[in-house]
Amino acid sequence: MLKSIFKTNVRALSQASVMRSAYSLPKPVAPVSTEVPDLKLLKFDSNGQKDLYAIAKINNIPFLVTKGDKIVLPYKIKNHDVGEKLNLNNVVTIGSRNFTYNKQDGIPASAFQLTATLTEITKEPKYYVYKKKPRCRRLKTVEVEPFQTHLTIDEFKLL
Amino acid sequence: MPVKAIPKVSIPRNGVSSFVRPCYKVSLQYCNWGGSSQGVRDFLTHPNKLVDRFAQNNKDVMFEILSKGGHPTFTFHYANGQKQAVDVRNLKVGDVARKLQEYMHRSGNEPFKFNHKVLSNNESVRGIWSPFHVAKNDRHRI
Repeated sequence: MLKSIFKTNVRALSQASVMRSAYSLPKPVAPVSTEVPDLKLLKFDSNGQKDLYAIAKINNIPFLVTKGDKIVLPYKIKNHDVGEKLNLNNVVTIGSRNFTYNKQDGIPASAFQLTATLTEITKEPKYYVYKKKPRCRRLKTVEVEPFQTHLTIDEFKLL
Repeated sequence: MPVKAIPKVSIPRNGVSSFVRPCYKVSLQYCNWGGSSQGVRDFLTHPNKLVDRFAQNNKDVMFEILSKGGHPTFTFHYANGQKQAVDVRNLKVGDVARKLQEYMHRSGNEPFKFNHKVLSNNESVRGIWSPFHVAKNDRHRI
């Protein structure tokens, strides 16, 4: 099917959309949650898996990441040390420039590998919060210096 | 005509494929006499051998203990050339240990407030949207 698309004299720019519409003709059957999805088109389209992104969820918050990105979390990760490799297994979307595979209840972990290195646990710059109590004219000054965690995407590939 | 290579500058990204801890040396400076060094002295001579344990658990960090007059300070040396001196006067043993752990986890870079989620050096993976790249029958019609 792919070969026949490339043979036809379509403009390079609009090729992607043609490919996309060509692929959508056989309606994909909803895969069983444990079944590994067929991500062949993503592999073809992603420049040797370089231009590939994933939407991974950490504490149910989505992060769109590519390889080498840095996730900045506004809290301190507990029970993990700096330098540890974390496996991000809750991935909702894997996509390239032209194709997206999306599964809201999580793509099975056997389809991809997405790991992050815990590179840093620091704090944000210090600032001051002034607190006012009723019937007291004085303001309390509180120092605030929230924690910050940096995760670097170490590996992302389709298996 | 010779083919010219596209020059690309490599970006240092610690943590991609390998990770080197940025904090490589800690010098713990205390005074043998002063009262503000009491917590640090307790920390160094703790029956549970806290310093030994720290050194055992972090073998990639060099620990240096200096006895010097004045208030106690911990100096952290980072791989980016930064040196950070942290004041640990009048702290209890637990707080001293916590301070030590906290600054060893840092990279020595300036702290910053980040109101987004992901910091990226890569080009936009999904590309810039353009109406002309949509197939003709998929375009919005007025």
